[in-house]
Amino acid sequence: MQNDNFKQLDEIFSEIQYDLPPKIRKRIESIPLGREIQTAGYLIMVVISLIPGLVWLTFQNYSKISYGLYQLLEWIGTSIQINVTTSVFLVALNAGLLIATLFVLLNYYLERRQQLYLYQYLSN
Amino acid sequence: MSTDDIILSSYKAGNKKGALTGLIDSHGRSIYNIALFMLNDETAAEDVTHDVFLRIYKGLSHFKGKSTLSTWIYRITKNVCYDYLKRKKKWKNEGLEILDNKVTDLSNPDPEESYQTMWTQRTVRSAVQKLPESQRMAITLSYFHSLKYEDIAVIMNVSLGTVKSNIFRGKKQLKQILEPILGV
Repeated sequence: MQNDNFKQLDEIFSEIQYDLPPKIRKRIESIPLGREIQTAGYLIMVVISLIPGLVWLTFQNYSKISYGLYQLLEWIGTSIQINVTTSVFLVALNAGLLIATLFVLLNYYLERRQQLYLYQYLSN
Repeated sequence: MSTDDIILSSYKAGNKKGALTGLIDSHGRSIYNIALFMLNDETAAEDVTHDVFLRIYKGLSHFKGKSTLSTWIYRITKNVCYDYLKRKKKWKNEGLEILDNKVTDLSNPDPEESYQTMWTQRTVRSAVQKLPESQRMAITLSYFHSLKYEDIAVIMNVSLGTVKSNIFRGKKQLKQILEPILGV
């Protein structure tokens, strides 16, 4: 099938091969191979997962922080050998759990305060 | 002893970092080019290349050697590309055409030549996008790592005849598209 008709086409393709971008090469080379680093990565991930919750709570400077967060997630994802999408999902999941926990605690606190007010009102 | 054999024995001997560098040197460029021509999106190609290497590192310790290392690596590349295209389809086409000045060699002092190169690259990539996925994959595999048709058949899990016909039809269609523009 290596037809002479396609000789020019083959030449064009041989001329337009792209080099692997250096930043990707660096990203790939930084993938660690040891299990210990992966475990440490997971631990860091748990800690990092608190950040979106805090960002969500403060709202201000969100755009500035989110870019930094993405880069951080990329680094974490690489260190534990998962892709960025998965690390974003894991962080979102953790952030969701964190926010849910905060709501439960807030609800508990408000209920307690309400009971206290009610008690004070009734005792007066 | 082929480069792949050296990489494998280096990995088995515990020199993981050396094996890693060897893999990037011998396959990184091809994987990136296949991804770029399959997806026509520079950022996606970078992410796919990254994902392919993640899968290679994870799977290398379990690699039994039933096929050659190259065949195994390009099968992973094919799968990751197809996964990406499937996800992309779900999001509905938002236009694959992108301006990718970064991949063009802008260090060329002659701006006219540089523009010409960029224009040719984009034209060829756009033409490749017009091919069906199977033809696109067969052609990129044959062009960017000079794989034998037999190996492409194993990677794509199709018969040798299908590979030959995919490549022939793909090239014919590419020629038809590019002839009036580039005069091939």
